[in-house]
Amino acid sequence: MALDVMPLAYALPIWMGQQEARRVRRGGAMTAGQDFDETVLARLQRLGGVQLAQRMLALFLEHTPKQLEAVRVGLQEGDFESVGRAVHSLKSTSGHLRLVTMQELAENIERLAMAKQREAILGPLHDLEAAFARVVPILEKYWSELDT
Amino acid sequence: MRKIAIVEDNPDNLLLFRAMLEDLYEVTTYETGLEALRGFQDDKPDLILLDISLPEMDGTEVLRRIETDPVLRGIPVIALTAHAMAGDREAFLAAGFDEYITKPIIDEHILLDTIARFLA
Repeated sequence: MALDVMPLAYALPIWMGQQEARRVRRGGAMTAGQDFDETVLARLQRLGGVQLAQRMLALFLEHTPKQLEAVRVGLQEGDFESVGRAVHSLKSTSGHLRLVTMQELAENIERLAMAKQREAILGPLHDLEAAFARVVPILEKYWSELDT
Repeated sequence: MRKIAIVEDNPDNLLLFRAMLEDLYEVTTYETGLEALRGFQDDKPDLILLDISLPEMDGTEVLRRIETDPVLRGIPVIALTAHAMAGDREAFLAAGFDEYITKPIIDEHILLDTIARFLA
């Protein structure tokens, strides 16, 4: 079954490349593994079959890079409302997939955006991007396994 | 079948909420407040699930317009929001929402039980 939301094959490598460039600049390391709760997939399949589970994963993988980019752009432009809107959305979408680390980081950034604390956002934002980078291959693997 | 309208701009959330509800209710979805207010005139719902952080017009303003519309006034409106900080619940209920449910919804029974209470 082909992804019917958008060409992840195009969007993700670009985004992942940007993350790798940032990681190299920072000299940091991405740790492997992420606390993804597999029961989420069972729940989604119970609610709407394999199709719902696949589509939820695909939408998350498609939209999260856009939201993270919106946060970066918002910070550069001092537009804290846009920053807050993007992480607010990420908070619920990551929560629905029980990606607890991402959900908590998004909530933290939302609070900081409300207080317009630009410098304080940079660390959690890096952590949020890293958490997403870690979970991408895991979600892609589940997505493809659901297809079989 | 009773009618539920969901006003929510996030496609992930819309997809999930529709899946939770569509076996039990006739579900209509809207992505903006303005679109919803127009749609309600032609297809009046029995209950509205209303996101707060909507583009163009936020959920609180949509609620205000519902309350001042003679056709729509009285429809139960449930705030469905990721605003879950201390004091948010009280603030939304004080603003006129009939109930408040936070996203993410990990247990769909919270949503289903709340809706059933209003549509009983």
